[in-house]
Amino acid sequence: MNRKQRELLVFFGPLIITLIAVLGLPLIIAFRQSFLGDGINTGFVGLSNYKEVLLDPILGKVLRNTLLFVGFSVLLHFTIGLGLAMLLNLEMRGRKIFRILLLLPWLIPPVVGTLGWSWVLSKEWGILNAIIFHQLHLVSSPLPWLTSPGLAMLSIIMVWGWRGYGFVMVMVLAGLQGIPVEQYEALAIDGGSGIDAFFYITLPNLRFILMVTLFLDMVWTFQHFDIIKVLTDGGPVNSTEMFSTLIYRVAFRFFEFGHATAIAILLFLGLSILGVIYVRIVLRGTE
Amino acid sequence: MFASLKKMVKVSSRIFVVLVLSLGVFAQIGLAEKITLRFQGWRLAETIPSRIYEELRLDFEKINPEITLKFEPVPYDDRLVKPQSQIAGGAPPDVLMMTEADVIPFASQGLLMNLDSLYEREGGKEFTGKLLEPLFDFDLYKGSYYGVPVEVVIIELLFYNKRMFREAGLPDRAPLTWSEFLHYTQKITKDTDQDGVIDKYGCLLWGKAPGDAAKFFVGWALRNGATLLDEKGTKFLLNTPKGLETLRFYTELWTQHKVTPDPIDLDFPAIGRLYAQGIGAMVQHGPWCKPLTLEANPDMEGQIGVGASPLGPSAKTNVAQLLGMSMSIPRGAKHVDAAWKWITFLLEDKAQMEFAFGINFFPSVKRLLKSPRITEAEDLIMRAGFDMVLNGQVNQILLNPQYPKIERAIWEELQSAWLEQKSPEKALSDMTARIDKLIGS
Repeated sequence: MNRKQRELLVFFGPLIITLIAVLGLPLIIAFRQSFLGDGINTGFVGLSNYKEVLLDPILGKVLRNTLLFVGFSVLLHFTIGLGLAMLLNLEMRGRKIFRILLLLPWLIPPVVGTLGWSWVLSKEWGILNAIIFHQLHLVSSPLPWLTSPGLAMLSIIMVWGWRGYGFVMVMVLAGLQGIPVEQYEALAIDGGSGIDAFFYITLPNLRFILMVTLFLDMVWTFQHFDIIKVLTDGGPVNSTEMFSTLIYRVAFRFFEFGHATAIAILLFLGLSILGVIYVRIVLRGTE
Repeated sequence: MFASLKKMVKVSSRIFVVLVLSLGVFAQIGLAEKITLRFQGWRLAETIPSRIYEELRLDFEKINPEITLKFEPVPYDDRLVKPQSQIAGGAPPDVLMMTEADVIPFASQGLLMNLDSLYEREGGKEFTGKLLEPLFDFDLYKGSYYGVPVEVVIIELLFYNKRMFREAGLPDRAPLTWSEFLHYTQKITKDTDQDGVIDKYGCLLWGKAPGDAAKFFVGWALRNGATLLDEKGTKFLLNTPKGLETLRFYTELWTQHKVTPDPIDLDFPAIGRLYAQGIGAMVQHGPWCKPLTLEANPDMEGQIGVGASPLGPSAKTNVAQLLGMSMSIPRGAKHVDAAWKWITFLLEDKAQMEFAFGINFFPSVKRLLKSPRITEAEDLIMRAGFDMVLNGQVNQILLNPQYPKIERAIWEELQSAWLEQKSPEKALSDMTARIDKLIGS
């Protein structure tokens, strides 16, 4: 081993060991568990856990719910996050304070924020219905935000949208600050408008950051648990049941660890395939 | 002179080191003899029960100086999650507090220790003969004991708001029948500020959490004379006229009469809040309702009434669900003998009576349950609860290892009926089909 290799080992060795211990080992244990029966110290059952998962009538509903949740939440994060980042990139008084205030939803502990939202969204006594029904008369009766299947899904998308835009905003803001001002000046000299600047300078420069942020946001949203558990617990009638809450319920309420880890492994495989495709697109783009 | 001084310092320092080391060794020996017994449960996180447990801890440690009892409070909703992780990780507590619905599923998954040998050591039939027999149903799995019943719990007490009853011109007592219950709720339910939204409700129904929703609905069915399971326990029998009558009445309280806030929105904190604030007039609850209500709103002092839950039109006898709390020893617990000492300590007179009069949980020890102090108690909750204990019957579906899935099926179909996605007939039929599939397997 030469000196460079030894240096690499010294610097990266602890990181690799930590990654194996924290990520690799649990994955291997979970993978093994997915081939065992439910309960503790049960035997090998082959692929029967996977078969049970794929034949479970609730799988279709959970997949649909999860895709809806991920799709609309990520869209909301990017719409709000990108817009706010562009605003915060402008020179204005109080910019620093606004940056902190706009980051607050991301900084509040998830369960605390969600409990607050459960009060806001309460049908009988929530402030949202107090405003739209009692004050503004926009609806004919208070809306069942958390107790109607359609509105419950909208509510959790709204709450996660509120909580999650901060990450996109921070990433995009960092990217915006790296774009050379000369490019905008050159466009201005050539007679380009603000919209031209956005499509021909801003977006191309942010492409890599946007793609990485999109991927990370999608993965985190797929795995999201707190807001759903606290607001609706997968209800009413499984209308907001996601993979995360399903895994939790199967493992800790039904005590079917083998079944639960099989769901988790399938989710992991799905996200991994998505990740591989994504990385290829990104790499092709950067080339 | 310096040489002798130097020698003196050398000798003294050696003696000092030997002394320190010796003290350390003796201290270790002392420490090694002391056991730290870990006791985990949700009641340890509640104000009044935790105070009682703390007093009992001091008494227990006095009698057993070699044991240090360490409490591990855990929120009710996490009471199953945390110990599972601990058992799987090889670091379980020594004693676990379990509800009537937890022991059998845990035992079926190999998470609890078989207590047969400990029962034998304690006297076998002589030991079990001291305790209320039906409670053992919750702790027996495949003929072996996996828990010890330490309390009888009644959750179907009907708490009512005396002020709201008075304002509605209703008598100061709980309704006795379903028709009376409906009449009371309709008299109380009002839009007092005329803004088009009801702000006073006759009752509060449990609908958000699966466990509560299922247990209370099944209780209503039992109090309408319905039977849950056949003798073998492999067929769900609620899809009968009595069962349908129950589901229809229960769901129409919301879908038709609107005498409750949306049940799907109501869980333990919401119900506690609404009852304490005088927004819901009647609620089924356990004896902890009164102290929690007074803690939330001291103005409710003197306004809390209690009685038995009403009987349905098809009921022939008064009946209530007999529930219990057990203590179990998890698989892999380190201090089994000390754990058993703590569990049997909780069956002694002082502990049993502290629970009875401190938090209105009934003793599982028969002799104490039938004692004049309990049977002639003046406390209204004790009197109402005692009548229900006498007429109590075990909810048979709680004894099935698939109960968590059964409870989920009941909850989902109940919600479907409340949301009017299904008619009560369809909801009951689907509920029956799902449960038959679970218990037949």
